[in-house]
Amino acid sequence: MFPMLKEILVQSVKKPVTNLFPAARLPKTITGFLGKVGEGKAELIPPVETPAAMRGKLLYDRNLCNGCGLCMKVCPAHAIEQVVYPVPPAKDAEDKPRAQKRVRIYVGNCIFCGQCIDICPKGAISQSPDFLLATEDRFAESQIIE
Amino acid sequence: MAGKAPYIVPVGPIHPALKEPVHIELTVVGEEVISADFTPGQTHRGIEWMGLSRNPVQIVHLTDRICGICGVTHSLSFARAVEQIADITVPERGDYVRTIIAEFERIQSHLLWAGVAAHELGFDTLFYLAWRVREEAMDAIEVITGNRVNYDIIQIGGTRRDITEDQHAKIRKCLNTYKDLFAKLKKLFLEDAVIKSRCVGTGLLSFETAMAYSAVGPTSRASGVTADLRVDYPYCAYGDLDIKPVIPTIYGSDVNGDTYDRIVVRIFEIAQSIEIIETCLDNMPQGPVIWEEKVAKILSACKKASGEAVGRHEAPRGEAVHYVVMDGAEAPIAWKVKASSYSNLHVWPIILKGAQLADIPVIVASVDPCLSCTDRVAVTDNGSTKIFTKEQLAKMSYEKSRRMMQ
Amino acid sequence: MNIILSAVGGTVVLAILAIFVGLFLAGIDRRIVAHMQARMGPPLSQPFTDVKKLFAKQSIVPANAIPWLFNLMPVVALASSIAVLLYLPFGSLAPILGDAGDMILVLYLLIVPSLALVIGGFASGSPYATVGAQREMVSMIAYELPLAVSVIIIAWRLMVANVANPFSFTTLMETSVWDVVGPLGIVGLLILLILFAWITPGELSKVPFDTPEAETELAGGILVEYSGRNLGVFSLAQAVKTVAMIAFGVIILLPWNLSPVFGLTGAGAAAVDLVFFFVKVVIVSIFSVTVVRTMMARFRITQVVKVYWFIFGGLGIAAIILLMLDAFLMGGL
Repeated sequence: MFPMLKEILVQSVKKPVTNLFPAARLPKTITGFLGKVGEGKAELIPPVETPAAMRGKLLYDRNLCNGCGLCMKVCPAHAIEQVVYPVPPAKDAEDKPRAQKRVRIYVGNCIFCGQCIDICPKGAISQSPDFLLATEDRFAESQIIE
Repeated sequence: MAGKAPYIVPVGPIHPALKEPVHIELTVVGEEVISADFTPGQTHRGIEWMGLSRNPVQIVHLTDRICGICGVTHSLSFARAVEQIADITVPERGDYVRTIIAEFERIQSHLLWAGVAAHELGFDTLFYLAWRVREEAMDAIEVITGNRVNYDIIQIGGTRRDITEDQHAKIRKCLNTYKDLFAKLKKLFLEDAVIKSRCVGTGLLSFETAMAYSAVGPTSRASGVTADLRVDYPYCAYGDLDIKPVIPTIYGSDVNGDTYDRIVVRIFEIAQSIEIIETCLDNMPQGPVIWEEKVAKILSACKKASGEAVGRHEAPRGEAVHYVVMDGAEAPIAWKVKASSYSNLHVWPIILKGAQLADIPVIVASVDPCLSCTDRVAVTDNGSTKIFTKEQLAKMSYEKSRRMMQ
Repeated sequence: MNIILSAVGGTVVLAILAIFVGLFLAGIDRRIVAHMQARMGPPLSQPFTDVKKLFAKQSIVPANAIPWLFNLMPVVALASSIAVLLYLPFGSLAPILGDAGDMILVLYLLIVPSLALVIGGFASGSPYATVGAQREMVSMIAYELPLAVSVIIIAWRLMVANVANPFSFTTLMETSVWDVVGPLGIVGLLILLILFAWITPGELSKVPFDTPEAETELAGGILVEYSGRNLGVFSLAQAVKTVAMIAFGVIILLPWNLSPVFGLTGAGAAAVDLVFFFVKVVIVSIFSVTVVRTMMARFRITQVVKVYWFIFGGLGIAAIILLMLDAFLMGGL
């Protein structure tokens, strides 16, 4: 009649399945707690393991990038914008320097689809499994990839 | 107001019974509902409008965000529409991967729904249990696609990731867990005395009404309608499979079309999905998973395409339809989404009529509504509200069609 | 004068003790429920934190409400719950008001907090609260029948066994009803024990009998408009009522003390018995509230009535017949 009864009695001698990330109990202040973790005074309970191919924060290698702008074309969220750096001075008469085109990725806009990685002809963009990205400032250093 | 019978009980747009923004107005005498009406349109986000300034490769990932649960449904329907327009053939292996991920989505969606239904009945323990076992499916999806919720695995012409041999072990482990769990889930949901007494005979949707109101998916199948897009118009790998629409007789009961039958159908569809995934894993053909590896080439193929098409997919909630028109430009000139809930919501006033106030949450939830998928129109007019009649709407539609034809 | 002073002092001490035990009970309840649902659950002090927070918040009175009634009812609920405790003996401690009240009085007093909730619900002028208040009234009518039946049959059995003053709590503490009955009576009393365990969640509005509050359909029902200090007082009243209701059941059906076992007397005996009494309260609460509310879904209000009148009413009649037969066989009649 009450099949749940057996279930809860079995469960009551088992351990909870919740992963208590980042701490078992709410600390007084989160920033204070994270500071303590940084100093090594407190222990952070790690998040659940993610698979190797997890799509997290993008990594961008500006030296490989040739500024073609294809990634901007396929980004569904318009999270990528082109940045044009000024023409560097010519080294000698042969050298014809051009304006350097690179991209800037806004993590706050990114939807982590990874389409830019697929299309990049130079392999300048790759994906890290890093997903702890929450912050209060969408223009913080961690939120802009250049 | 209070005291005067009949009085009006509003449910939503913000209400603990339904975590979806819809307004339901119930006229109640004592505990009995004598009439019900609902107002959608509280969560229009303009996604279709956004799509009209993007190319199909961008939109296919935008569609993932139409619904938080049916991640694959909308991208698959949209991709199928664009593939027809651009005359792209999806490789067989791509079709199989699509099928597997779509069925995993069905498992997690039905478990999520089962948990919500249990919560609506005041059975929080079952809710926690259902959502706990749902994590298995989410983990398997994460292994395959790289994300738990927004899968982003569909691409025009196939899928973006293959299922490799070393992923098989993890997927099979998940499937075996569910096989062991199925008996338990069946017992917990279908044999519990209180669930039975609350759900049997409530929210009745007859076969005739389900047909007349074009209900889709498990909602219609629970009323005995043997409509399942996977069987009726096979696509992806479904044509190779031997599947039958799940109707309540599978549990050995008659077809009543009540809330209980909807639980039965969804629970047994989980079992069906497990079988489908297993068969697909066993019979995966070799070859590429996508028509063209290079995204730039897909882009140019889409740019050349012109025409119109309808892409359909049997989502966990029922048939979802995407209508796309392209005319050789980057962005489509029309994109219309009809989510499965759109067809199902209209049975609410019928199944709510005569119900007990206590059963409203579970009856409302029993059609598995998804309002953010459904809301496609918002007319803003200086904050005033008005209701358009059928004739007015038809006239507006003709005008829009004419604009598009020019 | 002295009697009044000691009565007032005793009331204050008892109220604080009952609030503490009640909130602690709520904490244990939430922890165990969480554990059975494979969750971690809040710390044991969570109900205390909740009440502390509620008292720091603003009490909003809705525009539709009748303010004085709306604000008065939480206090009435708390006061009446504490009043119940004044007539109950705890362990070997005699009731603060002595033998002034008996079981029938406590039966009536236990209704008052629920009535306060009903009036508060109607006074808040919200359709949710109105429906909730109607349901609370219906469920009160439903569970009072088996409750009254079980209380009266026990007193009757004691009377047949030539015990003087069968409705008095002092008598109940001195003479365990289990000692006067024969084998048939023991079966009857076990049925009554089960009956009591199922009435408790109804009296306390817990799942599966929490239809008046019904979070998913009525958004909190009776309490939907209450906030801040008023809600805080209601939660204190609920905590005290939990203790009172379970203590009532323990006194009637599980009246044993530990002090005779150890041969203690005086203050030591009182302390040991008090602790043992609260241990019994905690155990009964786990079995009749925590486990039941974890394993079941919520009933419809019509089902609540059916369950209490027909299933538990039937059980009550079975217990009556058994106890009567027992009295007949034991030669009381």
